Amino acid sequence: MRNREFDVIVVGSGMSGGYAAKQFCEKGYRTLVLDRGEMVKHGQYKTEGKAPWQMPFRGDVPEELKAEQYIQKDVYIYSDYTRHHLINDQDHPYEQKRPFVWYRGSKVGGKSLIWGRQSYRWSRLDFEANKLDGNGVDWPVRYEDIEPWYDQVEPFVGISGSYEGLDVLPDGKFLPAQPLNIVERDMKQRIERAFPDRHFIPARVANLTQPAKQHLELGRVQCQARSECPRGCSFGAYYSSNSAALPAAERTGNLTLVANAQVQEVIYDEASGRASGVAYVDMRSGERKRVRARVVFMCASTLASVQILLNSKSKVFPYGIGNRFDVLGRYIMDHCGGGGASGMMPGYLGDYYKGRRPGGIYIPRFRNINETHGAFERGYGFQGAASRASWQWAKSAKGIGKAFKARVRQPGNWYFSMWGFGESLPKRDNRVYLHESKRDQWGMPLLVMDVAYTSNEQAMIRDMSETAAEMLKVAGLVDIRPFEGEALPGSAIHEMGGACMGRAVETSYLNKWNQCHDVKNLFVTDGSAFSSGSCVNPSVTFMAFTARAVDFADQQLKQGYL
Amino acid sequence: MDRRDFLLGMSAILGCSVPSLDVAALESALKFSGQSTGFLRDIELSYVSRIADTIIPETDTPSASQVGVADYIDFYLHDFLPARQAQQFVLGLHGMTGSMQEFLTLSVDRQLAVIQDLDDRLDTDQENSTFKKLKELVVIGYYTSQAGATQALGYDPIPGPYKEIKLAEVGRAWL
Ligand SMILES: Cc1cc2nc3c(=O)[nH]c(=O)nc-3n(C[C@H](O)[C@H](O)[C@H](O)COP(=O)(O)OP(=O)(O)OC[C@H]3O[C@@H](n4cnc5c(N)ncnc54)[C@H](O)[C@@H]3O)c2cc1C
Ligand code: SF4
Repeated sequence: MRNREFDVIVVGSGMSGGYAAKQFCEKGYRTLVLDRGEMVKHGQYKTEGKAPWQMPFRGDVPEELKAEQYIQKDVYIYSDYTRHHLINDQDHPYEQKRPFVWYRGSKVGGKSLIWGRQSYRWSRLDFEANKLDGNGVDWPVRYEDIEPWYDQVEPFVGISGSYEGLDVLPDGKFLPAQPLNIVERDMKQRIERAFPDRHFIPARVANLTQPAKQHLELGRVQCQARSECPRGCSFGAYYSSNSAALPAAERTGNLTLVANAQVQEVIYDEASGRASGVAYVDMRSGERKRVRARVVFMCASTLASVQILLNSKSKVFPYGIGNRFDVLGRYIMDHCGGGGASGMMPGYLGDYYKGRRPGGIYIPRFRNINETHGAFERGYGFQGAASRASWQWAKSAKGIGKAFKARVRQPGNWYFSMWGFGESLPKRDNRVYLHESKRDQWGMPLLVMDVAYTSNEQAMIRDMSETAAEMLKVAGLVDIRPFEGEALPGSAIHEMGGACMGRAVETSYLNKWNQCHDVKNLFVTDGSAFSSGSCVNPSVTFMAFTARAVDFADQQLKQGYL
Repeated sequence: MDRRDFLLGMSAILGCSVPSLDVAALESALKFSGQSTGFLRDIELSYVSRIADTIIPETDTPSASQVGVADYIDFYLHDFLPARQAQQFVLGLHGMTGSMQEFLTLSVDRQLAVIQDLDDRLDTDQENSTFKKLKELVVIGYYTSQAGATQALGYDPIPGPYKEIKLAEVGRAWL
């Protein structure tokens, strides 16, 4: 027991794994982080600060390169500035029994490098939803269990936000909010007057509007409103594992981080009934390795963690470690989206702004709270922003000569658009499993996606588009265009579920401490653990659960149970 | 602003040197060359330049050709587009207004009228698809060039905290 090199193995260094590593290292545990991605050190962001004329194709990506990233090329941040932070789909294939979009990071830090930084607490309602409407498995925790861990995580992350006192979107520990602009302020007034239960508030984003001591100590400074975050930011002005959690872990001297390490299996030790460690492949040399530790934390991202667990087969667990009752891989969720509206705001032509604000507005869920909607269960929130058109419109517009040039030089009208993120229902038949024969070049069985939305999500998306248009109308916009795009599962990049928390081993994979029911030193703390999906962006909640699970594991270790 | 200025600007904001920045690694990533690739022949380059300048002429800021838009288009065709598409585009250029040679000898006013006609037909049944693409490339090439972005538009790589201003304070759109 004593001569193991590591106390804890954390699989994955993204939003969840980075925070797990920091917490364990700060508590004095020798922590090994394994990540499939390539190393990128904070500050070594190769496209940061580059102007378009310094990029070969002014930011555009040639077809033959897009072909290597035939899935990733559709993510909204994909460009020549960011594509190296996204995975190569040719090298990392998966199977789509039903269509599923799987966006993945390619670097140490995972998707924390490229995320949209929108950060919201879940509400009481979210944790009670499964119990109330009977979908999915009831959460074994409630808001009160998680609240203290939000309190711990948020100040470290650095989240800007306004205090609103809403039950549906609890306030957190915030830095000053990003300002609304003049158009948004007027829209807020009109919308809130017409719809008293709809709140139009500044987006809560993990960008440092006013760095605190703990940020400055890590070299993180004030956001400069470049809005180029997914390229990486040497200011450390948005939260990523690379800029914050990993450096914090590193300074304790307890962190060992191995990049290019594809974890394939958690090893089950029959004698002890515990996980003894993990097996991984050095993706550069092809060498297979095994490492041991007292505790294993799975943070490889929602579907990747499930894939590894399903592949962790033994005599006792032929269908994946801890998976006696066929619960692993089930209840896969993503936020449903694609509904919203955009429009033009007349006037305000003397008003402008300086800087590219890294976040706009948020309208928290208002459906199925006090009244029942009827056409669907649960609800959705909106993200949006008002800004003035710049030169891009001219690419496809009419006009030539001096007059055209003069027109392009001036900012165009104000436009506002908003789009919804809705809660999809946890369904047992929405699942992933391993392909029986196909493997990737490192020998990992491919994941098969078998997930689809139902009429509940479709009705919700329709409602998004209708309510968005009705709000834009009262807000005084014209030329309103509602949209109801087809958004495939996965495309909101908020995938959750697969190793859900619950009370019983027959119906869930994890107990209320993110601990595998059957294997006590195995924890899953990324989105796989989630029994339902809320409608708010999930990543800070992944971190809050991670913080709570680390604290529990620490106590168990100290008491000699692990 | 080049990479060095950017880094200096950054350390100024941080009020310190930036030890975590690996300058050498960043510098080596910068290897864009703005040279012509030789894909377009001289006459084609002249033709594209002339049309580009009709769309974006010289005013108090440079014209399209003065900021190298023709070279950008040449580079785009050579390095970005698949060869077939690039060749098709060049073929389209040759058929767009009849002979290139002839177009180039027209008076500036006649050239303007020809381009105006192509522009008027955008978004109609008689749209010329090569012109549509060419115009898009001219606009992108110009406004994402250094001169286009910093002189015709406003470009601020490190704007500092977001704030509201009156348009009159800058007088033009941001890149
Ligand atoms: C463009 C974009 C915008 C987004 N916007 C938001 C937003 O505004 N708000 C929000 O809350 N969320 C947002 N998200 C989602 C957010 O990024 C994820 O929810 C979050 O990063 C998930 O954290 P994680 O730790 O589970 O996974 P990740 O951050 O993806 O980290 C997982 C890590 O595990 C590694 N890994 C995977 N498989 C293996 C393996 N077999 N062996 C070893 N390592 C492995 C990966 O390389 C990766 O580094 C966005 C995502 C994207 C892509
Ligand atoms: S907006 Fe802020 S966090 Fe994002 S890149 Fe700019 S300075 Fe960094």
